[in-house]
Order: sequence, then structure tokens, then C-alpha cells
Amino acid sequence: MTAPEKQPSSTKSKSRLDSQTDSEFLDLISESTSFGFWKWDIEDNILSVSNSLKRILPSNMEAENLAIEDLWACLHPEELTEIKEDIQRCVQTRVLIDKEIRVKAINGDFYIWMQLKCRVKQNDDGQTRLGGTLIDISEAVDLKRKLQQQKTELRFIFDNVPAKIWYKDASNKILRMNQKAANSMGITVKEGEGADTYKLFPDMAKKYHTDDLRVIKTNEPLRGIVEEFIPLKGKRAWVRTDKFPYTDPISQEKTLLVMSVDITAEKFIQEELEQKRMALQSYSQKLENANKELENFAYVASHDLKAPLRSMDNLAVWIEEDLGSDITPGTAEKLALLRSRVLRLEDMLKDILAFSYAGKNVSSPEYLDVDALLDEVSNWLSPPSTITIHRAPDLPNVKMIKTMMEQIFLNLLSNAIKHNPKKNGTITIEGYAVKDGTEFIVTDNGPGIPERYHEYVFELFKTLRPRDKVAGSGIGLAIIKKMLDSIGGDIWIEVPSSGVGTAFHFLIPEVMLKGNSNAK
Amino acid sequence: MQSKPVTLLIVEDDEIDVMGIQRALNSLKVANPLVVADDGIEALEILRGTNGREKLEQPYVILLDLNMPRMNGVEFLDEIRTDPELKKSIVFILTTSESDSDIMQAYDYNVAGYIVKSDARASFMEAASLLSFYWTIVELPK
Repeated sequence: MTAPEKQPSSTKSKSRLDSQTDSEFLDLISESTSFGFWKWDIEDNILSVSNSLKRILPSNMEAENLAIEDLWACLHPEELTEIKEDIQRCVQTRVLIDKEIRVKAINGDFYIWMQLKCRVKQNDDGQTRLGGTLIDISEAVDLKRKLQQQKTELRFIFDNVPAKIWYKDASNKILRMNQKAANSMGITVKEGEGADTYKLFPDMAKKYHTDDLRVIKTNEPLRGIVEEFIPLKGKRAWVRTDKFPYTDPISQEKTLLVMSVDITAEKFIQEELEQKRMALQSYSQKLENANKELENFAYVASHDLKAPLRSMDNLAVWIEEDLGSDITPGTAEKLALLRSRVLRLEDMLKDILAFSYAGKNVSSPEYLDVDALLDEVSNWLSPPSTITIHRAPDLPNVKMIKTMMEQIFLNLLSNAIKHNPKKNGTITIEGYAVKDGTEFIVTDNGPGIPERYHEYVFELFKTLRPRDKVAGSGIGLAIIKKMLDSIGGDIWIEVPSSGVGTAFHFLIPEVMLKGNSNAK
Repeated sequence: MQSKPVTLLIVEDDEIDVMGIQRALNSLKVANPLVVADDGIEALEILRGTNGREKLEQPYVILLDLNMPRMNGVEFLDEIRTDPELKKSIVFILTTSESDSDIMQAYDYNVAGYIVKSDARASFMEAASLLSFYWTIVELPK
């Protein structure tokens, strides 16, 4: 309280700015701020404008004696009538006028947005005056327009992204939503915004809200929620939803952004796929069971059927023994035939077992010297002198299961020997590297196999000659084929280029299948 | 030498196989008494004298098949090896099974020998001659 006491009367009059200083002072302020003052003595039609305004407005405003018409000349023709009416109204009703108008810029080329404010005042001298300000708001208008533009663009994007989008608050209320969301709910955006999710999704709201609260509480997004979409009015669907926490930067209110993509079709396909997968699994299980059963059957057939066969053989022998010298030649012959058929059946049972085991329970493939292997096989066969075996030089070596390779050559060569009655029988063995592996060819000059039997001979127990004439149950080729199938190889017959005999081709694949290698 | 002749108990469900063994023994002129049981259960009844059967007293040798209905060979072995009176019984296996697991399992039950019926008539003959030698040379449990 050390300040000197104010002296009311004399200082008060001095502290008041005289109108001249007042005007200069205001000009000073307005120079730095793009606004100006104007006044209009209505009776005399004298218009005065501040210097700051003169710097903005066109040059006609520089003149000494201005009338209101000079201001009119600065305004945008589209707005002129309206402004005149407003000012008229202002004069009559003394309301405050506050308008955004376009005013010609100083060089007259373009208009700038200004805010016009004015009010009528009656002076002590009875004169009616209109005083006002003009503020350059072009930047603000520009910003406003840009904002509007952005808003429109955002809304456009918001409505057209391929997802339903909602902004929601912590109470499950929809703050904003896009067109897609509204469509899916069978309502308009306007109806939805501000509405309570509990009313719009009576069946699901509780679940949605629980997830919302989790997102808000943890401030972590929840992604990939697969859930049912059951709006009150719209169509039921399956959706995949992502929820992101969002804190309003101004109000700091914790809300969340919810985006859902319709996956009904996807879900349907997925379910169908799952069903197919299950069906496939069940088929493959059935197939596996059937294979096991078949294998088991082959084992049972070959083992258990052997016992009664042996008994039959025994009985035939005992009948023969018991009859002793009383036996007639006819009986003896029939007993011998009976025994030979029993033996054949026993052989076939053995073959079934061999066939069921073919390609199974085999050792690992190894690098084989094919020449050395053929030496061994030829030794076992000891071909008769009527047969000559030619081997092409440089037979390719292969990576292959040794026992399989032995059995293939053993079978093909013994077949070629067995079925070749010629005095000058020849067998040629060749081998070539081919695209998928190594192909071997065993060609003989025997009777040949008619083309219609080229596939038939690989079937189980198929033989082209009577069993009583040539030994063999017709199992060899079937076994070879099954073995080669099991490793992804192949065997087939071609007619040799000479037109005589048969050429067996077989392919050892580069990469051997392992599917059956350790199956029992 | 045994004072009492050794009885051969054949436990075998196939009567033709039984016939085969009988024929083999006949041809070898072996006249020892023969008792036939169709399966393990019947064999146990004979060995224990139950179910109205006359009890088979020592000395005897059992010729046992593995695959039989009701009680198979292994189940029969399990039964007699846990029976204090029967556990000393001499048992030979005569079967079609060549499986390693069957052979090992049989020897786990202390069988005297495991014979595979590979070639029927020859096998019967060999088994019969083995048995006839066996019981003339070996002292059997009393």
C-alpha cells in the first residue's frame, strides 16, 4: 500500500486519451494485427476508415472524402445486397452485425475473407453513427475450409474401408460409427451414434463390453477376436474384431476404436475345410485299418491255412501207405495229383505272404555296383548253355535297396530263361540315366508277350502258360511291381525294336519314397 | 531203466497231427502208453485227476502244441509252472510257429525242447524218435 493515493477529479480528465491520440494508438495496434476500424456518419454519409484498413482495402479508399458507397464498391457483388440489408437492419433495430464477408484486396485482383462487426451508436450531439471493425480472417477461413475438406475426406475413408468401425466409450456407448457398421446393424449412422450397445446388440453387448473394458484397462489392443455379430435389426454374421485403446487428446477420455471384418464366408469355408479334413482323416484311418486287416489276412491265410493243407497231404500219404500193395495205379495217380495240388496251394499261400511283405520291412537304400550284383544273381541262376546273357558296358550304378534290386533281376532273368525254349536264347541287360532316375531294360528273344497282356502279367497269380507246363505261380512280376511302386518306381513292358521277344523296363527313382520302408 | 513205462501226454487240438505222431511212434515200434488232450484245460484235468479224469501219474512227458482253443500252450505252461506238483513236468513243444518270440517265451517256461513242424511227416518222425530216445536215456522226475 505504498502507492500514492489517486486524485480522482484532475487525473481522470488527463488520463483520457483525446480522440486524435486515440486514433493513432489504435492504428498502431491494428498495423501489426490485420484489423481496422471504420465509422459511418449516417446523416452526412461520411465514411472514415483507419489507416490499417487503408493498407488492406483497394486504393479508392485512399481518397479524402469517403462515402458508404466507397465501401460497397469493395465488397463482393454476391454478398452486397445482403450486407446492405443487414446494415439497414442494424440502423433500424440497433442489433450487432457480425458477418464473414469477402472484401476486395488492395490490388483488386482477389477477395479476402474478413469479419465485419458493426453497431449503431447515437452520439451526444444526436448524430447517428455506425462504428465497426473489419478483421482479416482469411487464414482462419482457409483453415476452416481445409478442416472441412479433411473431415469430408476422413468420413469418406471411414465409410468406405472394408470394415465396420465404431468409436465407443467405456460405458459401451457408440460415439461414432461408419456407414458400413450402420448398414450391418440395419440403422443409420445418425441413429447409431450416441446409442447404447446394450440396446443394439442385446445378445452380444455384454461380451463386447467385457472386451472393451479389458482394452481400456490394459491400454493394450486386442486383436483377432473371432465372435458372432448379432445386431438387433441387421443380419447375423461372424466377424473378426480388433480393438484399440484411444485416449482423446483434448478431453483425455479413454475410449476405444473397434474394427470388425466380416468373416462369415471365410468361416463357412473354414468349417467346410475342417469337415473335409476330418473326413479325409477318417478315410485315411479306414484305409490304414483296411491295409492292416489285409496284411493280417495274408498272414493268417498263409500260416493258418497251411496246417489243414499239410494234414491233407499227410492223409494222402497215409492212405497210400495203408493201402500198400493193394493200391491200383488209378488210385495212386489220383493221390499223386491230390498231393501236387496241395503243394501248389501251399506255394501260393507262401507267395501271398511274400507279396504282402513285398516292399515292406526293407533295409535302407545303399549305393550298388550293379555289375557286381548281376554277377551274384547270375551265379544263383546258373543259366543253361542255351541262354547267353549280354550286359551293356558301363551299366549305371544306383542307390537302391539291395535285396529289392536282387529280387528284381533274379525274377526278370529267371522268367526270361524259363520262358525261352530257343537254342540260342539271349538276354540283354541295359541301363540308362533318365530324367527321374535310372532305367534298366532286360530284353529277351523269347516268344514275346502280346500287347494286350502287357499289364495283365503284373497282376497277382497271372501267368500266360499252364501251371503244369511251366513252374511258377505268377507272383514274381506282381511282387516286383509292388516293390517298385512302394519306392515310387515303375515297371512296364515294351516290344523290343527288333520286334522279337520282350523288353522289361523298370525305373529306379532318383529319390526313393520312404513311406513303407519301416512298416511291418 | 524205468520200472514203469513212460506215458506220452499229447496236448494237441488237431487230430490228424495226433494221428501223425501215433503213426510215427508205431513205425518206430514204440509201445509206450499215449494220452491225448485236446487243449490245455483237458491236459490239466488229466494231470490233476479232476473233472472225473483219471490222474496221470509220473513218469510222463508232455508234447505240447502252442495254438489251441480254450487254453493255449503258453497259458498251460504258465499254469503248470506255478503248480508245485506239476512244475517239474518235462514239456516238449511241437508247433507250426517259427516266431522268435514264441520260442523265447517257451524256453522262459523251461521247456525241454522246441520242435517246429516244418515238414509234417518228417517232423513227426523226428519228434517221435527224439522222445523214444529221450525217455530211455534220461531219468525222469518221479
